Amino acid sequence: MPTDYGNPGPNDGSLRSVHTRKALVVFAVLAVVSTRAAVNPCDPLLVQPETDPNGYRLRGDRCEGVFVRQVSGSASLLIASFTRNFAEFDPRSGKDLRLEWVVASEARPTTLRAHGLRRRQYYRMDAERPPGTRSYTWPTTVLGNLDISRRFLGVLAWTDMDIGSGSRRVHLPLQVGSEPFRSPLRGYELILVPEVELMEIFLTLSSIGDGPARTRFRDRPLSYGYYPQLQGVRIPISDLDRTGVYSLQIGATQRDGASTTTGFWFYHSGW
Amino acid sequence: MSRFFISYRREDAAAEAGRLYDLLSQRFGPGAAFMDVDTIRPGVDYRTTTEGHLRECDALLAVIGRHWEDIRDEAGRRRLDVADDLVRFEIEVALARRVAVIPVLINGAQAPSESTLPDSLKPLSRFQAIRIDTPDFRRDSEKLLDALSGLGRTRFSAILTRWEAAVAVSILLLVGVLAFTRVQRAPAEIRLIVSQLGFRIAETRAVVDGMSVGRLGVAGVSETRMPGEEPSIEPAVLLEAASPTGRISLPSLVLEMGTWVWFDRSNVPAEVTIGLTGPLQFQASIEGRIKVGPSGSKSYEVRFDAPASVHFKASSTDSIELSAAPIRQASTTLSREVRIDSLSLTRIEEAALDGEPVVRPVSPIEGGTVAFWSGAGPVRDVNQGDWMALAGLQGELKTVTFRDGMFDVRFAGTVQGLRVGSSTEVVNVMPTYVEALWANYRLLFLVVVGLCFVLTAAAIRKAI
Repeated sequence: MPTDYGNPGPNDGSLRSVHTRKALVVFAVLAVVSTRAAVNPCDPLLVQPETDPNGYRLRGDRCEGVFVRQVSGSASLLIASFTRNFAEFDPRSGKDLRLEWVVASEARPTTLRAHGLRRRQYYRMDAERPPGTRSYTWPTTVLGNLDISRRFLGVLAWTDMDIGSGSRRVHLPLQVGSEPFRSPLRGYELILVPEVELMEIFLTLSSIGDGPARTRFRDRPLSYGYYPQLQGVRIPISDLDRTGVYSLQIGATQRDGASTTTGFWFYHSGW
Repeated sequence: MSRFFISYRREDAAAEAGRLYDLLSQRFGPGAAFMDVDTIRPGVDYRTTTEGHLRECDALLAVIGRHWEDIRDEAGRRRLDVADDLVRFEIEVALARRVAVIPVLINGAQAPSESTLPDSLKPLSRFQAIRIDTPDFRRDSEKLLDALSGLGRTRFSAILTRWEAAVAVSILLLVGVLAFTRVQRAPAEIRLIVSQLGFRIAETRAVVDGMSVGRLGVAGVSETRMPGEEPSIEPAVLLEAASPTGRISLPSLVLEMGTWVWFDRSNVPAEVTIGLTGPLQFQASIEGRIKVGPSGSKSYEVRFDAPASVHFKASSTDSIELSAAPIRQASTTLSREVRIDSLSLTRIEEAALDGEPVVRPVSPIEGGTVAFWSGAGPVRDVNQGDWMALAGLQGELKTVTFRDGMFDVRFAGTVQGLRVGSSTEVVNVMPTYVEALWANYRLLFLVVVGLCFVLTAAAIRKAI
């Protein structure tokens, strides 16, 4: 049976047109679905209070609000904030907050997260910015509704970086404020929230380069007098001599005799 | 309605029927007997009235004289053979309704033979008859009356009207429904041993009792001022007795109405955590050698030869947490006689400032009881591992005592929607309406239900 693959028939033009339109529709639907899937930054593990107008849900390009806390029972250390400059702001002023960061990898998106630090108020904001983006304008409507000021707010930004043989989550120091920043500080502030009361916190800081890691200090006690549970512990980080990725290992002894640790990697772009 | 129906033929034994009527009225009271002459009002349908009386009566007395069987009408027909003969009709209705039929043979009359009776009346020949003769009328009648007395005792249903029966059955049905329907709210006394609890106070007053502690951690306040120092914005400070002579006293905390208070045991044994929201100002008293541990700088030790005060101040948005290790560890009363309008005995996690707390269904309950109406109502046990939730509550926390690392909670007040169970199966343990009636109107409830049972049973027997 002869088969003609090369010569279009009298109706082939219109058929192609129909196929093209179908393909375009399918492509558009897939594009919309994939785009929506990509930009929805909501954490599916957070229980959303449905009736609460300030409940955690998608609000434009971010997910924000209070959630129902699922108590894990584990004695973990939560990294709640990492900033270079966090200016005071009035959450009820209606002014947007501006978040700025230095890009460590042009090819990877940046994830933004905010934690509420007030006891028994479980608030979070999650957003994801495309690769190359260096700032984010954050509407303060929900913050104003919940009266969350700087004192009760922690903010984080991170990206994935290839370090050694694998990919690591590397935090980027944030500058946060509703007004333009005048002079960035020569130091970072890390806020750690312990689930249970601690006796002491020990820090080990190392710089990660192409060669072996260089330890700047090891097991240095923070020596604060009191580490109550669910109270943010502010840890200053300064005296970083070279740009690049640093690793901060945090160990803590609990009052009940147990101990816990966590690791924190961050990118320092210079002062 | 009359209890006894007298059936007779005027041409046969009218006088004897009348005497019998009088004797029945004397023995059982006026109206106890029905007799066509006296009882049917003019203009009333005789058949309908007769049917009505026969439906309600205990017995039909068929007064049979010597001519009872043979009396004929004007056409010469034997009356008993005529279908619309009234005597025949009366006995037929009584037999059909299974009313007791007692043949009363007057002055030597013979009991009717089955062969001479029409088919519908043949059963009459098999019934035990009573003889009454004119010379001994009174004595013979007494036998009949005695027999009827016994019959009356077993036929209580005769005095029951349809309406009374309907009301009795309805009440019993209602009681049946109420036995499974739970009240919305009820007074209750609750005693529980829990590892944590939260409550919202309904009046501004001192809620947490003052206590001597060996260690006091204060977190979440806006301002702290140590003796002789300027106020500092220190969110958390620890005061710890550095020697046996060191003394730390936590004062009574006066909290505003509507404040949520949480009592929780710390992860360190014999230490209690008290959580609350501001605004609040209080001062702890310290004496002797005290270790002061700020949360943002190094700790130091100070000696106070005389009692001194450490001031704490919290704003309305502050969420404060006090961590205290009472010196008298065996038993410490934390709170007493506090009016509250909400209580949670499971772990509380607040999701919003303005909303109700969100409760995690994990039980910290060690055990306890809930006694409704101070024990006059049902008493429910709460077992270890159960969790408890309330839809509403008003009342007074009698005492909250911290003992052996647990809180002994005593509450008296009104509860709503009390549910107890495991995380997978929770049951409403509010009392049913029947339990409520029993607790409050025990004797009256018993009498009403008992009466309804008797009336209903009688109605059922009658219907059968």
